[in-house]
Amino acid sequence: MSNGQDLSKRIRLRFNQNRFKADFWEIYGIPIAFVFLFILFSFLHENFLSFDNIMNILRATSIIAIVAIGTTILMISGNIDISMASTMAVAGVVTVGLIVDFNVNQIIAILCGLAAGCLCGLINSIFVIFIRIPSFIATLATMSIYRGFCFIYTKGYSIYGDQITDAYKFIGRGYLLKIPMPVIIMIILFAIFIIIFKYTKLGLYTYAIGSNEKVALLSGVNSKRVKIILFILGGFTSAIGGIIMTSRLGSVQGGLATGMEFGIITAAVLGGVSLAGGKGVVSRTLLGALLLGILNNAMVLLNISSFWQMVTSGGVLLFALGLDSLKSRQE
Amino acid sequence: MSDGKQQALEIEGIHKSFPGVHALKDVSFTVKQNCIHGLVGENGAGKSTLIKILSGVYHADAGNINVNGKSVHFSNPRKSLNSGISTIYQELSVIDDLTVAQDLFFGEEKRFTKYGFIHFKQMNKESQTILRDIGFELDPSMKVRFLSVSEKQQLEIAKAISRNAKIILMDEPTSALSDREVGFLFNDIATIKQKGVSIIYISHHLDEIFNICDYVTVLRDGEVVDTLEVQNTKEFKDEIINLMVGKKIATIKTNRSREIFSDKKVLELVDYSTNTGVKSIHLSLYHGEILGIYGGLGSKRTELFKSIFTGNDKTSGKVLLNNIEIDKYNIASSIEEGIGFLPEDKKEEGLFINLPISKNIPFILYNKESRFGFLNQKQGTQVTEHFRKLLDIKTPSINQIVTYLSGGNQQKVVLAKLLAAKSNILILDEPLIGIDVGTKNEILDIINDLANEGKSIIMISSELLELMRISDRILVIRNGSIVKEIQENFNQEEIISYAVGGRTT
Repeated sequence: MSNGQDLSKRIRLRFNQNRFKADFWEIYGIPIAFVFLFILFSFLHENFLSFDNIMNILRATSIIAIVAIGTTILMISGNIDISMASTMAVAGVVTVGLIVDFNVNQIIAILCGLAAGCLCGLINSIFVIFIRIPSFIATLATMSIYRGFCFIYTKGYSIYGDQITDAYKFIGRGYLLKIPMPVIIMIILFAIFIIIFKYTKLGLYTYAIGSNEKVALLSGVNSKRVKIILFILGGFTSAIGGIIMTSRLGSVQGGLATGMEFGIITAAVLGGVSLAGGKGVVSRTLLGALLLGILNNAMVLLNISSFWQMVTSGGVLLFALGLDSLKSRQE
Repeated sequence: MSDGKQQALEIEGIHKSFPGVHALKDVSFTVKQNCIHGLVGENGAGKSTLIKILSGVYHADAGNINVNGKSVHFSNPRKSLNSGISTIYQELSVIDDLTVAQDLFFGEEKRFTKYGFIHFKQMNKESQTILRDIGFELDPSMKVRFLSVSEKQQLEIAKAISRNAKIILMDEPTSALSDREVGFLFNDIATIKQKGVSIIYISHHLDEIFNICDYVTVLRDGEVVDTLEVQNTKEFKDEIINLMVGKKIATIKTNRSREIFSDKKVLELVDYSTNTGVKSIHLSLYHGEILGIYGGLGSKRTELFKSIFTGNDKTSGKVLLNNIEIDKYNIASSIEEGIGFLPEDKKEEGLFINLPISKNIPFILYNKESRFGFLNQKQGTQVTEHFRKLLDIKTPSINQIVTYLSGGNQQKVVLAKLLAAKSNILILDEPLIGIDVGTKNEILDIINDLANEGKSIIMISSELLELMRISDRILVIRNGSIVKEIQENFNQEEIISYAVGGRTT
């Protein structure tokens, strides 16, 4: 009997050690990689550490990071929205289209663009929640539909004009205290969403639904309502990303943000959001996005061809997903 | 027992221990050929452990099993199958998307395969022969999904026989059947008995045992009490119940200092029926009382109370809260009205397994009391710490993720989550399962204190002695109906005999 107890004690100890290892890499893995790459690239290229380049990285990261907030909260609840790049385009086309083609006041146009993004999210939620199509498939379909409408409206041309004033372009191009505007917007949005997901019922319920929706229901959570809100918030963050993008470009075209869903999902997964739901933190998605930003920036500075960048991006996504899968297997 | 019949299965001196429990002690009995052999015992008597040993899921610590006179050792379920023992579990293992023939030969398609293609025509033909030989009228090309439960059972039986089973174990086969289907099953059993197959029949319903079994073995606390030839008399039934309960027959008087049965009815059900098998229940719960619910597997006790809490599955009847009828409601409004529900399957229905303890315990409380959507985390932490001490939840920190807790501690977290919600009506489905003896008493004390504070409690439990100790009244449920209400003097033998159908009102 004592032998048996000994053995079980040893197994438990071993298990604790393994768990410690898993916890350690889960918590510190990405920050360590971040610091490592940061140091590596500053040695590899003299300009990497300059203030301008760091602002460059932040600005290039900001749009992905902002949209990835929506992706993160949806993934925590066990859902996913891959129509976000198309939603960005919808918001951009609505905003710029209203300004240029209909001479609408710019602020009202922006509000309409945000509303269009929210509407895209709401439509996604209807298919997922009421018609019960798995969110990946439903948003794969709407991804094509939203994009299609953008091209139908723009007929394949860019929309631009004098109605787009410097004030509008300031959102994407301007600086406040030497910090680019998109970065400031990113910081504000992250602050808001970090607070919501740490301190409010909505945040708690999102984790609860992702962890076990049945338990959430039995605990009195209206999970449908929570999921609708999450999809709308996903549409909202996409719309902000889309509008910033049009402001930087000073124009819009149907293909706006095409292919960006890739970087957005990679950022979220690198940040530790689990595909299985219930896990992840909004703040870490920022870290994931910055890590991607550093990689991309370094590859440009080091003159690595964009074809190799594609290979690297795919590799990073596989790496992040593999890490997630290994972690859940350990549990 | 020497009527010349051969022995199909001999079980000799089986022992099995789990950490802390000696589940089977020196279990020996013999099953004769062409016989239906009943196995009865209270919850926890060791029936399921014995089945799992015979089907090769568990290994016995000691003892012998002989099939047709040959000693066998099962290191895995396949070995058990190969030596002629098939098990049909409560949860049938047929595959909905296959046809009857495909399911019948599942895993044995090789016999019909040529150049990598399966000859389905041949398979159907052979299935037809097997089914006709047994006397079952199933269409081999029919999808399993379209079969009724009793037809699926026929398919399982046919599968067992086609694999040369000499002994078929049936674990609570009637728990999902209607009365009419039970009749079909008994016919099927009579048919296969004539094929030279022996059946070990496990059931909570004594009537079924008396109806179809030739012999019955009674298990109590992991030991064989006796094996008897079945006689269909009233005295024999009483004898079996006595054997099941044993010497520990206890009569407990309710001894309450608090005032109960005040005229305040907090919950009332009138003629309540559901589509899950609950049949016209009338029930009242009074302010400050503990109402015990006792019933075996298939009694629909969980279905009844889950339906009351969720507002789902109801087909007819009325629910009154504080004498006011509530018509349409859902879980959220139940919680709002002060009803709390502790689910039976605590891990799957009660816990957020990858959230920390500090998020689990105050979850429902947060739901009820948060300002402008913001959580009162200070209160949440206090509540969590309070219950961690009260229930002695062993954890290094309240921020520990629940997955990493032991099973018993997880159970306590679920209970704490419910208690923290400060409900006025508590429905506790098996609150004592998986909890160690010391903590059990603490939990009983907590439940008692809650009733003294004026909360009304419905407690469903298979642990009868504990239930008798704590309840003010006990309702016995069988087949979705209340068969007996007992007040004041609780007699173990009486309660069990109502629950297994040995007595009826």
